[in-house]
Amino acid sequence: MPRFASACGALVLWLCAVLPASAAPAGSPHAQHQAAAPIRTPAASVAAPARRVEPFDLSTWPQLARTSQRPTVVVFSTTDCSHCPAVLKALHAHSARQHLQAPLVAVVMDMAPGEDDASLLDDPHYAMAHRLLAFDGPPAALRHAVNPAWRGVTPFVALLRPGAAPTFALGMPSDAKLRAWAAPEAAKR
Amino acid sequence: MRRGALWASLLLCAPLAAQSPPPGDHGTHLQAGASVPPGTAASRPESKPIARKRAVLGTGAAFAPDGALWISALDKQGRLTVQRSADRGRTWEPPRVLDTGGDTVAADGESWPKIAFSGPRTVVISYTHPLAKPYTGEIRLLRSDDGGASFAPPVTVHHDRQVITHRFDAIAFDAKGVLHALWIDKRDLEAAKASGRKYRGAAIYRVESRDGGRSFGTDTRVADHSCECCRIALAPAPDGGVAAMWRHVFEPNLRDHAFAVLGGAAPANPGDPALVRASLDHWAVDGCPHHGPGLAAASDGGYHAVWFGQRQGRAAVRYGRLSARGEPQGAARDLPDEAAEHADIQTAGRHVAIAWRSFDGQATRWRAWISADDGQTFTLRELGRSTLDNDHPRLLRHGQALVALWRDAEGVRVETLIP
Repeated sequence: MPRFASACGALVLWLCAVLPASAAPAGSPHAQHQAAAPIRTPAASVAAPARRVEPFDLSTWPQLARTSQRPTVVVFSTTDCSHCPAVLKALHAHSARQHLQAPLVAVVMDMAPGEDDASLLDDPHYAMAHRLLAFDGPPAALRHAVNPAWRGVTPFVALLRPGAAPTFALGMPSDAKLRAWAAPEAAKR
Repeated sequence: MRRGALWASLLLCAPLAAQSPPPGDHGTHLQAGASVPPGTAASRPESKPIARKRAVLGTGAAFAPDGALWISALDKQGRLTVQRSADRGRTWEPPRVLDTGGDTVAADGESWPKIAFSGPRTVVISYTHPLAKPYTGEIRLLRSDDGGASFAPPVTVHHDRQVITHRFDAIAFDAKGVLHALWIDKRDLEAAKASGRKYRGAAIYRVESRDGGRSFGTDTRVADHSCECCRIALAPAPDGGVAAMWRHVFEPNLRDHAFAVLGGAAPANPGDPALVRASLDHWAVDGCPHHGPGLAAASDGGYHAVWFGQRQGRAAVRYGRLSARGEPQGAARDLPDEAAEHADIQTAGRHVAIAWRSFDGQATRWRAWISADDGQTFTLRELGRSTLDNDHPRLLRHGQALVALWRDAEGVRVETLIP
């Protein structure tokens, strides 16, 4: 069994490497079966909206945290989270204002991939997300994998930076937190 | 598993003939009040069709006056069902699919179909029916006059028919048999938006039915500025009405809890009832906790409450005593589990039970804290664990018995805590 799991893991990693994030169009029956792709930062812009709903399973978070090649914002949301749209919008605007080109990743926690992908992709709240993922597995285990202290409050924001531990915030991160997260990028400019 | 632990695998996917009359909006059971627009099938708002891939486990439960345990839940096809156990969960009758007239039913997290009894014949089931537009819904109710053998077509309990938020329903019969229905409502937020005013959060609204859910009085606002996404807790009030506790948004964005007594000795139409601040965590967050409180009557006329919140940066589920007016009494105590979530509370005399779930990294634990001295001291009890997706724990009272119920993707577990 461990050997099988290991082989499956290798296959997943290989698929991640070869499949671009936008490989399947919205509503494609293949979309929900594809492995999560690593973050691929477009050369010129990160404004391209998500074109499919990817699964967020137990392997996704470590992969996201490990493979982000530039500052990345992950916003965990629910379809009934009334505060989430404003935070997504504000973080998108912040990234643009600071010229961070930070991919914005939205993760929907109360809909599984394949349940209603079309409406998630049509939802204007997620329109600025570079990638759109949905919980695919027991929510408690998935939340625990992200941060054991997180009790499901949304929006839950993770600020990722290459080579650094993720920074978390309930709701909109403070200016100080955003500044600290973006400081290395700012220093490069 | 300890003494009294009962495991029952549910056959919720078994399709059985619906016991209800044909679908319709209000059928022959017209609502009271002049402000109700026509509720014909043609004017029904568009439902949100959802083909759920994940198990939708939100389950309501209540004891019937004859001691039978009933649950209301969705089956694997997303249909509303009821199921009955005459032996406190040891064995279950097959599930019966109820006719909701095509409504989808919210049954996940803080929303689940609730069931309540009044006397030997009246049974009601309420649920939130999500509509196609995001964040919108309506509160629907099925009613039985024959002890649950059959149910009338669903009706909408509120008179407001805007396609806006009416969600997170809560129902309870008071000691006089008056049915109270409360929900989170955004009509005031929408009105404020339309006139360019700011408005914190949502509102709590309610209706009363004095004929077992056949008709409803006017929509009455309980409070402005509630949280938008947390369940409402109800408990019997000593004077015959019901007490309500909900997460509120106190100025500027403090998500503590509010309390109000409704009905009973209160004036028939008092406008907004007196609102009391019932928790003092001072948790400032512009977010959705998805984590409503629990409330139960105390033997001395006050209340026992549990809630989730963040106090001085520390998140916890806390237990506290409230006065008869809902004011905090003494210091709140953290539950003995840092990962506790979605706690429920129930009382019988001086016995107090609190049940919750917590994920330990491998499995979700089902745990209880039990007191025999009105909440002065508690004993921790492990009730079970599950590696599967699971619902929030529920606590029920029947006579002097306190019973815990928990559903996971495999079935329903029932555990008698007291006696």
